[in-house]
Amino acid sequence: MINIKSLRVDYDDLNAVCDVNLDIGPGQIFGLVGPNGAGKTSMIKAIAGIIEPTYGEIKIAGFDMELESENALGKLGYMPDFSPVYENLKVWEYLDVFAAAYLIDRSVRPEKVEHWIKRVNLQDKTNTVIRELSRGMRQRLVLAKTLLHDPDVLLLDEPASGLDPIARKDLHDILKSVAEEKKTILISSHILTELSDFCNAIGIMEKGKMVLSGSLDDIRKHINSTGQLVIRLAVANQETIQKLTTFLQIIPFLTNIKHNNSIELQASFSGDPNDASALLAKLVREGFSISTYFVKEANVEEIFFHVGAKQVS
Amino acid sequence: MKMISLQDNALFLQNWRERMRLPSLASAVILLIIIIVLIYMNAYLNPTYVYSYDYNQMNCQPETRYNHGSNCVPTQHQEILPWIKKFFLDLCSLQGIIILLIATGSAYRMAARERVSGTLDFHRSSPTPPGNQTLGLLLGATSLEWCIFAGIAFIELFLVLTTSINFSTFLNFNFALILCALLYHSLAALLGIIHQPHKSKLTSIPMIFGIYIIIMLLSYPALSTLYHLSWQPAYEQLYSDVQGKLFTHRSYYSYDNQERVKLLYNFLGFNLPSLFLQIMVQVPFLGVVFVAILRKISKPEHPIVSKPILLLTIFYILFLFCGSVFPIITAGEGKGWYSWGEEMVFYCLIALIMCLGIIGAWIITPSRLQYIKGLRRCKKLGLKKIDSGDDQASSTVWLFGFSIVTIIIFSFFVYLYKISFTAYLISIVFMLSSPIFFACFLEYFHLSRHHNKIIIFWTILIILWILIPTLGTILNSVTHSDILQQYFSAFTPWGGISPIVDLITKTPTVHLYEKIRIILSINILLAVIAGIFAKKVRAELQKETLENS
Repeated sequence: MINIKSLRVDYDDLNAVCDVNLDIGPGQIFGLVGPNGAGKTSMIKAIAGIIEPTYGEIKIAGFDMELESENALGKLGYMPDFSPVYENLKVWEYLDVFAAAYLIDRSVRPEKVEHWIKRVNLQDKTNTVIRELSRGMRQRLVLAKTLLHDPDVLLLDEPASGLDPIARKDLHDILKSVAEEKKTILISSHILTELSDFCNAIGIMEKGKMVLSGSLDDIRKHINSTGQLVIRLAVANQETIQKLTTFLQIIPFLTNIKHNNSIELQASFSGDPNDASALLAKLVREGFSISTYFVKEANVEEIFFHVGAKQVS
Repeated sequence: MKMISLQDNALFLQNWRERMRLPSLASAVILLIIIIVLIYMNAYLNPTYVYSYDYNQMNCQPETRYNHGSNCVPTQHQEILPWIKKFFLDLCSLQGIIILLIATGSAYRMAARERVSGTLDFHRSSPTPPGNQTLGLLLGATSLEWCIFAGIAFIELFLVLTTSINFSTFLNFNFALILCALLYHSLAALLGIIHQPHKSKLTSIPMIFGIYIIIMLLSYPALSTLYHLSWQPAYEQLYSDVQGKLFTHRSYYSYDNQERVKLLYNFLGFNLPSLFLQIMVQVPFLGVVFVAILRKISKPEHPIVSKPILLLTIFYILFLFCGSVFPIITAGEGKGWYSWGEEMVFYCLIALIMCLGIIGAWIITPSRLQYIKGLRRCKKLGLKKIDSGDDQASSTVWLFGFSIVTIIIFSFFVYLYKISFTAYLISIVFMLSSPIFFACFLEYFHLSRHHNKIIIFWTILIILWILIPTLGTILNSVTHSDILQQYFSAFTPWGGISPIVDLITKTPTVHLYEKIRIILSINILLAVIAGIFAKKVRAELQKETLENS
């Protein structure tokens, strides 16, 4: 759905995006992560046709952005971090304007507008002038604008920035439901936990370069990421936790065993699910009273710090 | 460009909805009704006299002298203008104020807001073609004023159908006004879209006043080109038609002004209808401005016009100048101030060519980033160099094109005045040297890496063009040496115009050839130095970019 070849974006002497190649398939939710100034926004703006890249080929749903821009842009929905709105328009008017911009037929525009107003929970505000909406409501409105022409590809640049936790949750819920419709979503954020929830692939950008990209599983394998085994005892007991630590030290797929208190213990886990299961059975047989036992996989944040640290070093 | 109906044009819909809200519409309608009633009362209660003049009976007594034109004024006759005609004329004036002044301000304001707020980015990333976006912006931003315009036109039409006023008068006037309005709105919208509030401290109010001042200046023209860019011909024709007498408008009662106005309807020796001239002058400019807005919407980092379009525009401006000046030249001596002398023609021509060259270079010289982008793209595509017509190309080939345009236009005047070949060559070299110097100098600074390059550029230019000539003037007041002063004034583009015109018109002047030598030496030297610097920076950038890519 999104195919990028050798994309480069420059601003005067600054190279914002440097020869990026990227393929994001249908139904993929691709999280673009990186520190501020890594080139995420520049890349998204170049894909959305807002800034002219120095060179590179961008294809959206098979349409070349340079040669068939009208078709390519028709398949695209773009939402920036701080979304500009027309303060003096009513909610329905705003959506109707952009329905027209996306060449939606006049006869179906009211129906589409109504559907998306409901979908983003703004039905009470249909006739409200936008200047009276809160920031969260405005973001939801812009999200509706982004989705109302049913684009195959969504470009979301820090969509939750500046939102309070409730508005952020609302936005996430809507995005999750959109993701279920098998749309291709490219979402950037520097709040990494935000992406862990629903991304199935990520790309890490540093200084304009795509340091690493791919599905989360592939990346975990690629960086040899180990999981974290977490064991919690039913009752806090210093002696038992010491005994458990000693017991686990001889297990070959566990390293870095540490306990911060007398009830919970963590260790780096490099085994497979069968190993985890066998270990649990062994622990029960040994008489340890365990209330919680799970293997936590590396999330986006941990992967980012892992890769980022390597890049910096 | 695939045309989209206005009901489906997003930018039109957005502007229309904002501007046609019930409170603003109601307020506009109430105000309009009150104003029309006042106009009606004024027309009905205050009789207006129309003056006509008999040029066969000239009254030349000293006490009847007027400030403008001839000392003799024709015998004056007066008659009362029927109130219904006065009402009609005043409605036409109201139409002009609304559509030319108020709507122009709206076009600027809405376009600037679209850019500053960032909403334009949403439209840019939509599949609506940029031509439709431009059209929607232009018509939507001024929709309220167009509705008022149509309302007044409806009343005018009623008057036309019920009185002796001709339908063709009504039609001609409205068409002329609409054309004029579209040009002014487009110019205002272009200014709004290129206005960068974070870079320039100009707020929208001074910008709107600036637009109005430019429009006002256009109403006092000396050339038919400028005259037909203004609204003046539309009203001139309207007053002539409604009052039944040609050129009886109050400001043109003296004989000289009568002749001057007649010349304004002459182009290249042909007397042409007002509307035809207006279309000939305004439509190409409207096209260029429309394309400029379209480019700024679709490619904001690029110059407002492409290099080939800019060359064509310059050629057309110079062609219009030729057509405007021709009747003035051929009118002959002894017909008052409007009959330009040979010197005046060449002063204006040389100054105009140099100005166009300098402004043109300012528009098309690529920024460092654009030039680097062009080089990188070439490398990626395996091309040897950037296409010379490309926005990212150096201005060198454009300067060559500009030189050809200059030579063609100047040759027309050489043919008219039969000037010598040497004077022709010297003039061409002089006229081209300043734009070449400016273009190369600007390119050097644009492409170089200096942090404060624009400040350095303007500082050097102010020293060369203002401070050095001022020093020359100060020294001249002590030494009284023309030659010494020429050394200093030759650094400016205008410092050499006077001796060059003297050379062309064979005016006997002291030290003329020495002055010409100084002017040419300094101008050529400046152009060559700037050219070398520009070439050097281009080569450096090329090497650096291709190595680092």
